[in-house]
Amino acid sequence: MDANLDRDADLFQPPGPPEGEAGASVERLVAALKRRNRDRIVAEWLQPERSARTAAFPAGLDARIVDALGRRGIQRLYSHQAEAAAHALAGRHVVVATPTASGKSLCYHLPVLQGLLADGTRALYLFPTKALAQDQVAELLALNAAANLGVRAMTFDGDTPADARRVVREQGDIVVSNPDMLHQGILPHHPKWARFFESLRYVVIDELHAYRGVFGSHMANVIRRLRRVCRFHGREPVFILSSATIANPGELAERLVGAPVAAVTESGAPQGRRTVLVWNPPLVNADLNLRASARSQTARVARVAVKAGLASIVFANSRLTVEVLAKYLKDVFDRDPRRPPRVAAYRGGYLPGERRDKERKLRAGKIDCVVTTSALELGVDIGALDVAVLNGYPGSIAATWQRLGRAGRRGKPSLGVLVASSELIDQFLARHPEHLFGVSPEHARIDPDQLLILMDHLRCAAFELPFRAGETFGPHGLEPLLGYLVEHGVLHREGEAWHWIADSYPANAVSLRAVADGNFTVIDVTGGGQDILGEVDYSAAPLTLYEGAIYLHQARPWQVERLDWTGRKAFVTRTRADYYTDAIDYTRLKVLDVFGEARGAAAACAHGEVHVVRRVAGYKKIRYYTHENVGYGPVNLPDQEMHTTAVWWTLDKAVLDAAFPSRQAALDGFLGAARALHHVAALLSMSEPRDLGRAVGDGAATWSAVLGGDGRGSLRTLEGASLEPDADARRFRPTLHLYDNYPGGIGLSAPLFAQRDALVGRARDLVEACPCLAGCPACVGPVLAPREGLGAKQAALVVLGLLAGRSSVASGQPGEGGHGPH
Amino acid sequence: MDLTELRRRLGRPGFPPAAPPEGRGMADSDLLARLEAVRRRGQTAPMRREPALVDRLGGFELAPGVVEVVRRHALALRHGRVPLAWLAEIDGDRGGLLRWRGRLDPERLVFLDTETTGLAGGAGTVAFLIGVARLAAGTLQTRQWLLTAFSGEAALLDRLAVELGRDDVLVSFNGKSFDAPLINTRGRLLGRGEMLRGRAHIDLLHALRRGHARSLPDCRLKTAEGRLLGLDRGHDLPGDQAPAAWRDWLRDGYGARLNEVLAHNRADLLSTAALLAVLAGEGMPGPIFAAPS
Repeated sequence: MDANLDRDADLFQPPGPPEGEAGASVERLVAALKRRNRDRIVAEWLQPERSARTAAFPAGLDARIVDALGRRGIQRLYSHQAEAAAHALAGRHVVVATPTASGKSLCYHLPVLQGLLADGTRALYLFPTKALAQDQVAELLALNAAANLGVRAMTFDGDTPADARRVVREQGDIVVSNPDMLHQGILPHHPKWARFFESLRYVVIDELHAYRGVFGSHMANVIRRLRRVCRFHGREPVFILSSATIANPGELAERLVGAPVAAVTESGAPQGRRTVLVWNPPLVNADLNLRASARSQTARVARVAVKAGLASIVFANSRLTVEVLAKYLKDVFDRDPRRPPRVAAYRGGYLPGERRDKERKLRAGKIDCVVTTSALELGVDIGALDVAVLNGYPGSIAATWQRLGRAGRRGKPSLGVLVASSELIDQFLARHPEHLFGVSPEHARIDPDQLLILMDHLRCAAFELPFRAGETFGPHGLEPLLGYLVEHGVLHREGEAWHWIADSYPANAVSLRAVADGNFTVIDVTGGGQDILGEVDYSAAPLTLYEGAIYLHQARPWQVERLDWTGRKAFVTRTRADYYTDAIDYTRLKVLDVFGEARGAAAACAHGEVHVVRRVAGYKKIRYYTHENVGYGPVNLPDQEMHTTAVWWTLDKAVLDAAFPSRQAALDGFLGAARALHHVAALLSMSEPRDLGRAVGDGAATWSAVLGGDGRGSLRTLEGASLEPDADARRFRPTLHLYDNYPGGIGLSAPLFAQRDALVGRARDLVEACPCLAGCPACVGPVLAPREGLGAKQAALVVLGLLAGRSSVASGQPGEGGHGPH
Repeated sequence: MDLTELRRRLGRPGFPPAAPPEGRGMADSDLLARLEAVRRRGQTAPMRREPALVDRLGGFELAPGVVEVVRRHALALRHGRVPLAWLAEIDGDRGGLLRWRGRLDPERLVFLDTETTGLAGGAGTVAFLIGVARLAAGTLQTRQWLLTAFSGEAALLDRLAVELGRDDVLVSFNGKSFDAPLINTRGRLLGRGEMLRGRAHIDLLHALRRGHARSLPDCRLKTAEGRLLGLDRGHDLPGDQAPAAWRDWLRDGYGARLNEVLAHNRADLLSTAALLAVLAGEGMPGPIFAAPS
């Protein structure tokens, strides 16, 4: 708590001169890195120092608040704080989008405290995670304690004991919660919260940028329900939102709140000089465009930074990579078991106590290097850091800046290094770093009216209050939707009202974050005990907890002995394995319904509804450091199924037969083209690659294509048996699918269908411009050795060329395919 | 066909995938237009009026949407093996199981039990039947209010408020956790505030746990009825079928089982009353009944 107080005071104070020590060593580190790695640093970007712009407190601010701020060392506000507070105090919804650590929380604490002290009104604070909520309460309590404001700020989440809940409901001036709790615990019980809602004036939504995609679409509906319930209790609360830098904070806030929102985007906070380097691992095989692994380069940069005495944070894009990187760094810095560890891993799936402990150690400066996933991208308070190293592009420009922003506080110089992986997008950015620095960050998109999500929340809303004729809930006409629920027996229409009559609690059936809920518990049974080691969410479980998998926790390996799928438990034992495991999965897809179709000269593109089955077929064992494949194992798990929407392409049969010397070549071409299209589609739709799935099959789920270890495609039947491409010539009609990776679809496939020409064109340019000979991770995927006949890259170019509507006939000569008559 | 279509589109993972429909697919807007057509064709009937129901239940229409049913049970009767006359003799909490200080006036006791659309609680759970029982004119009188339409709920709650005198003491089985909060919630939703807040309330589930947690296999009402009251409800409608019976009435106007729901609720009220008589008297020497073998 003391550490917290110090940090908060620092946050609002005008910047002092950069503290010589750390400042100078960041500069020294930058110079040293540049001297020794000239060929690896492909771009350098300098964000200049910026001094503070301040403003006076809003007129009429309660004297007790002014006193409390004064005691915390705050005499004036940053300009964005004053601007935001003025909007809120005037009753206008407002969103503040300024960089990490610019003092955003004061933007909402001020009007909230003013309303509370002057008029006795209350506030609801929503944070995307419980951890963030706890930090904000601590900060609020510090302000409260500074001048005895008498504010009762209370947390209401899944950990709040039953007997304390009544106290929170009736006495909380500021209730701090999260969307899930609002959705399942507060709104369905709103009559119990009547006193709270009757005096609710402000709703604060922090970390707005976290509410995109599916989660954001759910959140917009939760807010519709919240505003509906507030109206019932006679209030129209003012929303105050805060966001990291994204391209469209105002638009996102308006979509989320469903009303006009003023946007404050100019930060008045001071900032130290920041250097950002884009680092491309050296080429190890020019023909194959193969580069050294990003992991070893990331570990190397982090090692140099820690040795230079700089507090560092390393971001990786998967939990597995976090554990592998933590092991590499621990092997260097934590060899002596008698000394406290200097390196820590921090990711989702650790138990709350363990996470709190790590956060405390980080704030206290007891850890020199933390390796993490996006878990620390959000505003968890971990104190000041000097260097941020990103192992791979996080998938969006906004997330990149959010991560880089973790380094550099109090006007000190800082360093950010983005280490490009061999992935397609990373290599694209290494060639075109201007995309990172010049372009505005992504638009965060949500689709609150996605039918599946809307219907989920319509059920919940009907449970909370009967619907009346003429009422609205989003732009759709309500009557047919309510009629559907009547047909399903959950609503009853009586005159002009629809009442909930089912014997169920609909909010419990709706998870805001994942498709299926039910986290898996990982239980350590080494030595006969039963200790809970961690948690894995449902969607990640098939890929990480199959029997035989190596489960890494704090860089130490456990092996999964048994997986209880229905009981959501994995039993693990300690092991000394020198390898880790990576799941092999493949996807089958069946077209159910065609919404629209367009025909080109040789190809057809369509979009519609599909049924997707994902199966984990087995796993690879990969040895540390050498990354060699040391074995395979089978996996036997239930399939993951969903209905969603997709866009897909096929070639006319005659064209297909004429264009490729063999079916194998056609298959390689489709797989390579699918990979390029997938990544380009993610860029074009401003979503992340994992929001889309790709599959090559026949569109009827009789077979699907998978990529073997050698980079060549092979066919699998429904049962997973392999199939010769030439075995059944009549049925060979490869279809390339990109699907919306969420049940029901989140609205990505229709815009992709509309942009199909740009999509195919950009993918073709990308593959064509790649300097490799036959295919590499940066274009169509890694191919170990060019084969005879048509290479995978050339085959992909033929496919993309034909899809683009050009008549292209492959010659069958390596290196020439795809360059037929244009 | 239209509903199949919607079900398929709204189907959740785990539902068997339906066969693809013939012809072209349709966009959401087309779907909604067709849905609207379904709605118009199947426009629900206006509010049902069935005078026959009121007669069949042996009650009268208290207000549109609420039927009141009154029954008197002579104190000479036994409920199980418990004479109802014991109720009139209650003077206090002899064994301390009720945690009630001072005198208990039998005339001021109001036994309460509700039937609801579900057990989940929350704003979407409705008490469609509220029953009370009290000593009156030498009988135990039950008074039940059944909603026949949602529009009757306000009148029902108002009638309950009239029923409860200032000094009345509520007696229920698990009512502190379930029935009272639910009625408070309904009161809030209909602008009548938390109607039962602050009212004296004896919850017999708690008393049962204090006195018999070790001697009974569990503390359900059914178990207490068998072991402490010597009562077998036999062919009574199971309580968990009451919501379905009410929904049948709402949806299809099929009210045949509502009589059973009322009878079930009355039996619960009588059990609550008899159980109070037993538990209040547990200071007396000797077991009241031997446990059935």
